[in-house]
Amino acid sequence: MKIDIDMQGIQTDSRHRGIGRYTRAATMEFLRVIQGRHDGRLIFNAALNGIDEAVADLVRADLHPSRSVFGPLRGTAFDNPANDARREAAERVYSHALDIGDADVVWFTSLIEGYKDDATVPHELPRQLTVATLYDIIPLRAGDDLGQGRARDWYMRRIEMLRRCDLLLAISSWVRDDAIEKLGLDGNRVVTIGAGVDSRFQPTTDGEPDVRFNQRMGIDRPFLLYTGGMDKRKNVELLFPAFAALPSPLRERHQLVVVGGLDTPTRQRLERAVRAAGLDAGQVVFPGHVPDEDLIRLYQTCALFVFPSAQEGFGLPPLEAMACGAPVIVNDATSLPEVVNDPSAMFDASVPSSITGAMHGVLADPARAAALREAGIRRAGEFTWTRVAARAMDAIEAASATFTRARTAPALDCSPVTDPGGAARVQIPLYLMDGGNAAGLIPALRQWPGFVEWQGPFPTTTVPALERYRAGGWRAVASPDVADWSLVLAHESVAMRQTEDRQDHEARSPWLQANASHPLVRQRIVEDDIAVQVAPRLANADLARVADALDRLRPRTSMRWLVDVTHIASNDLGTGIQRVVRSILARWLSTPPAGIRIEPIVFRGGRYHRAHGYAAGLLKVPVPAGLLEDTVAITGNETFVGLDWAMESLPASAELLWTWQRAGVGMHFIIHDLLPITLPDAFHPQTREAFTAWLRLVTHLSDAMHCVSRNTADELAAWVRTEQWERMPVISTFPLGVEVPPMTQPAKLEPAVDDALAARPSFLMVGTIEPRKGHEQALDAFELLWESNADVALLIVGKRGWMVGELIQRLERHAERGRRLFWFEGCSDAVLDALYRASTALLVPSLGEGFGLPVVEAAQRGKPVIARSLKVFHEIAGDYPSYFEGTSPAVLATYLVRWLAERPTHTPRGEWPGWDEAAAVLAKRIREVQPR
Amino acid sequence: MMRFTRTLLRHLMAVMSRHPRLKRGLVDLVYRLPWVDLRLRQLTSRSTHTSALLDLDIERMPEDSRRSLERIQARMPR
Repeated sequence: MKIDIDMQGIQTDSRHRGIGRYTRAATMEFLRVIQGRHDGRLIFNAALNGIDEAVADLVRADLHPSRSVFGPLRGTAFDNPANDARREAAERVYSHALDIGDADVVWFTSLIEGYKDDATVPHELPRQLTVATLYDIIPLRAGDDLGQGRARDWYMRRIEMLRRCDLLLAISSWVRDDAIEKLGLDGNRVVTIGAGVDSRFQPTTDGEPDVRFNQRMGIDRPFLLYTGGMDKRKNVELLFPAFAALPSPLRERHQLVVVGGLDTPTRQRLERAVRAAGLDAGQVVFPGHVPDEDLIRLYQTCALFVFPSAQEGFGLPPLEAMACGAPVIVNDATSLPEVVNDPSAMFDASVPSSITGAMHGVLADPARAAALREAGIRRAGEFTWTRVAARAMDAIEAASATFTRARTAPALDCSPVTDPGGAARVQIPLYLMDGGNAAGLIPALRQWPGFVEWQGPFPTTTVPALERYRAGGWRAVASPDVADWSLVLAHESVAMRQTEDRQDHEARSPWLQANASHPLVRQRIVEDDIAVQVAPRLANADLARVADALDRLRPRTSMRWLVDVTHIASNDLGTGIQRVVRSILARWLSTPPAGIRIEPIVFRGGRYHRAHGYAAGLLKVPVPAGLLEDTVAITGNETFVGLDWAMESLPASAELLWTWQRAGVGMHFIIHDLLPITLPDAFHPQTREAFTAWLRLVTHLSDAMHCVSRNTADELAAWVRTEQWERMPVISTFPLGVEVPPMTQPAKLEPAVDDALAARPSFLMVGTIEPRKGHEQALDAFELLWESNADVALLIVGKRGWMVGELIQRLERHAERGRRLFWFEGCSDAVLDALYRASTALLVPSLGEGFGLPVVEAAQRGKPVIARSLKVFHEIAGDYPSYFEGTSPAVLATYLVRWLAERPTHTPRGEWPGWDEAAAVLAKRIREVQPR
Repeated sequence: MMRFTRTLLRHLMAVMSRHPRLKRGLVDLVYRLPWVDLRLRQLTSRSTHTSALLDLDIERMPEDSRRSLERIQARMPR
């Protein structure tokens, strides 16, 4: 079975209370228990918080359920009448989300939400088996508390929804019985699944009191503990007179610690009650809300846990206290006897002396306290989340075995349409198309989705580029044969059939009926419902959000990879990284991985837009007429690929990417190197700072980081460990492609260069002039060689980089410039190729590289390579280069002299992969990683 | 003030992109003042890449969402 679990119970303020705790623990254990048996999936509301925490919990628990997100539709809280239309629209959108899904079961973890927050319930009972967790219906028992206003209206609507659910999972037998009685439910539809206690709640093994902890809490002697809510039904105020009535010596040996969130009016109310009971300030302590680890410590070390609540659905605090080895006494009311299961641990909170007597009985009798501790630990051991999850699974399986609720088939208006103007008047138009009218009807079909009945053979003419793009993406634009007319019509329509006889109504009717549940048909029905029932009361901006949320629910046929090209699309500087981006993206666009649509995107004006112009440019095709560079819509079947190095734009776009990540979009980034971190002196301080911030952001966002070399992957893994990230993203490697462009017409070098190269051995350096590339050491070494009358030439190909002002001056004013020293600040690929071929060897004194493309390019041309002994060069080029070590000019000069004397030859390693292979391997790596 | 600074920076960058020698001179000058350099780079980066906008803009909707909106609007009671 496919079981969709609505997680709004951990998204509203309930996530800080028992409901959130229960939902989190029960869901996690349920996902574990059903593994291999059923498919549990999570639904979140994008308008609410809590998704990040839930995803982090799942990652920690090594659980990877698929998840979907609907919305965001904000401003829907029930308490404000101004939200009514938005809420009604949101409920319709949520209903549609559930309706078009393929789940067999929908489980609402908390339906009683949405009064002061944007939690949403479906407009109608889902068609699937509908299950809800039942915490309690206590407000119904004390109906006066609800008042007569919107709060009551909201609560009664939610109760009605609960009443209509197929199965209610009660957290205690008392809640089950209460609901059956008060709501008149069939007992078979309400199953007690109980509650559990987290394994972190256990007795302490450390017998020593923690003085610092006690000081922080304001505790200076043995204490009685209460934790829980502070509302009236919890009876907290009864504790003060009961405590005050203890015999004076016993009372003075103890404090009363009341733990829980307190707003100012509540604190003032409780402090008044303390004073009224005649207690001193130091005898009652209010530490406020405390984190779980502190609460556990308090449970473990209290002399007595006392819980006077009048009404509980379950009573998690007494159970947690028992699990931690505290002696526990509770009010003999509602579900509490079921939890504690010990009549001797009960009191009657309506009789003040009963609470005092129960307190005295434990505090004055260590043997009784010890007996309660032991009994409590035993009893708590019976409440595990595994048992809760197993009971839930059994109940759902049993209910689903007898469940039948067929989807109601709507009566559709599918009138035939032969002209574009008629489409808008029909609910789901039936387009009667043929070769003569197809081109005119397709725009109407796109705007007003419907059925297509095609008469005659399909045209053999080329489909317009816009239609090819819509049906098959950029591959179909680049290769017109990929998308024919039948593919385009099938893509745009609800359903298409070819017929020779349009009068054959008998065949048409069952065909229409068979496709009546198509997601587009369901969407159109909801759109019409919203148009009539809600839209007139909505502002245009709200209606746009509703339409957007609705349309993004539509299942898409192929996965999309959104490839960020923000920087290269606006400014292609021809860097090595940008060459990688161009090479891989061009291949992905023309030959995408199977089942994947590649969409280059750019971040502009605060939003991501589709980068059609850049994609078309890479493919060398015109942008299809009518194709808009619109904003990117996330539908949940996307993967984001940070192929370009977006160090400057990512800090701005990250907030948007977080929302994508929450919506289930897989996040992948390409890491070329960590040089600003591994070689900090070679970079501007701003670059170091920005790079480190970028890398932290990327690591936080990423599901996987794909490195261009094993060396970079090792450095990245080491850095991630140093940074102590809680979650380690997948780190993988893929090879860069190396392809020497075929040169039919070798470039002609300038005569001076030609002559210089012919007259003496020459060494070529390729790469931007920047500190880490080792130009300074090379120039110093060559000056030593020239001083010692060695006749050698140095050729430098590379743009001026950063932090090299003095070096540039030396190059520009050098006495050997134009004779034995040449600097090509910008040269074409053809000239570079000619220089590779004409020079004696490639010299690579770089102090650090992410990959080192020139080494491979030289090796491919059979050109000797003299390189610094870097790990990455050994990795990519093996024994082919002659390696030197040391950073002094003399060392390098000596090495070059020896190299010229010996001219060692090395066998080139085997073939390097081309860009086709590089693109394919990277695609494979991305596919291998499951998003969080 | 912030908007003025950003506009000024954008204009300055446009001028510099047309005059590489001027750009190089200014970069060399500012580079000697690390704090100023850092702040200017941060400002220019922010002026180029505006912060993410998370809410839907009716003027810049995804194409399919816009079609859905237009259908709803067309079917509203007159």
